[in-house]
Amino acid sequence: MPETFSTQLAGLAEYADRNASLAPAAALRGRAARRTLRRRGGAAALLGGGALAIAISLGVTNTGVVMPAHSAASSPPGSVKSPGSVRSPGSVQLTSYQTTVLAKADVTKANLAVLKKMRLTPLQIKALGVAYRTAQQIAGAEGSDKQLTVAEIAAVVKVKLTVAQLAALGYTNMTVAQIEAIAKADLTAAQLAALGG
Amino acid sequence: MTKADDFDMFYAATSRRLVRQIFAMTGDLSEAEDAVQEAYIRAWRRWPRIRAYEDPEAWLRVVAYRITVNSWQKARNRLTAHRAGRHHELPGLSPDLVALVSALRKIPETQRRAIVLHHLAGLSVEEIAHETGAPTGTVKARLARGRRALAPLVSEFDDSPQPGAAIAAAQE
Repeated sequence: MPETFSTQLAGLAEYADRNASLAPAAALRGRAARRTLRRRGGAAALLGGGALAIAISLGVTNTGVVMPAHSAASSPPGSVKSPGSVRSPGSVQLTSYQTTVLAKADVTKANLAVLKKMRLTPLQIKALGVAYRTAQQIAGAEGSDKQLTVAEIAAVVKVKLTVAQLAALGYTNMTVAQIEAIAKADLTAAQLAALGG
Repeated sequence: MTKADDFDMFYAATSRRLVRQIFAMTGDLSEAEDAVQEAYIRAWRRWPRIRAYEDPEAWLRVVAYRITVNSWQKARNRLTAHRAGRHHELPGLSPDLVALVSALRKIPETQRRAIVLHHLAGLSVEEIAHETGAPTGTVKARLARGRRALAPLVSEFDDSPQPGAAIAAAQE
C-alpha cells in the first residue's frame, strides 16, 4: 500500500471534516444551562415530597426555625422561590426548598451528592441538619411549636463558621475584628452558645 | 473578551480536530460528534477552571473518549448479539479507508487510542502516557502491537517495531 499510515489517517480526518455536523457553540452553552436548571429543579422536586411528608409527620414543618441566612442565600435561583412554600400563623416562613434541606438532615451519600449540586457546602448541610434535629427535639419535648433563635441554632453547630456565616447567624452586633476572631477560632458548641447571638 | 466569547473561539478552533480524532478512535462519526459535543457541554459548565489548564484540548479529548467508552460499555450486551455483523454507515469513504476503519476497530481500544493519538493527534509517547495515565513503556508497547496488527494494511508498518517499543513490549 503506497500511502503512509499518517496519510491514511488524514484521509479519515478529511472524511470527518466533510461529514461532521456540529452544533454552534452557543447552542451547546444553552444546553449546558438548561441541563443545570433541570438538575437543580429536579433535585428539589426529588427531595420535596419526602421532606414534606417527614415534616408533617413530625409536626415541625413550621416550628419557626430561623434559617441561617447563608443557607438561603446559597440556594440556587429558582428553587427557593418555589410555589411549595408553606406558612403557619406566628411562625417564620420556610420555603419548600428550605424545608427540603432541613428534612434531609440525616444525609445519605446519595442525598449528599444531590445537596452538593445545590451548591450547599458540607458545612452548610451539616449546620442545617443539626438545626433541624434540634427543632425536632424541642418541638417533641414541649409539645408545641418553638421558635429557635439564631443563637440556639448556632450553639449546636460545632463547625468552623465563616465571617459571612457568623454575621448571617446574628453575630452582627460584634465588631468585624471580633467576628473574624470567632471565625478563625473553630469554636465548640458551648463556646458559641456562651457568646450568644 | 467575555467568557462565552472565549469558549466559542476555543470551540471553533478545536472541535473539528477533536471530532477527527475521536472518529478515528471509534470508527463511528455520529458517535464522535455526540461525544465531542457532550464534552464541550461539560467543559462550559466549568469553563474558567478548564480554560486555566495547561492543555484544555487534552482534557476535552479525554472526556470525549471516556464518553464513547462509557457508551460502548452500556451497549456492550446489545452489541454482543450482533457484533460480527455490525456495520457503520460511512457513505463516501473510499474502500481503502473503509478497510482502515475496519482494521482499527479490530485492534484493542488501548492500542487504537495510542495509535490515533500518536499518528493523527501528533502526540509524543510521553504525552500519550500523560493523557492516558499509562507508563511510557506501556504506551510504546501498545503502539508497537497496534502497528503490527495494522501492518498488513499499512506498508510502513511492515518493518520491525522500533527498538524501544520492542523492549517495552518484551518487558510487559
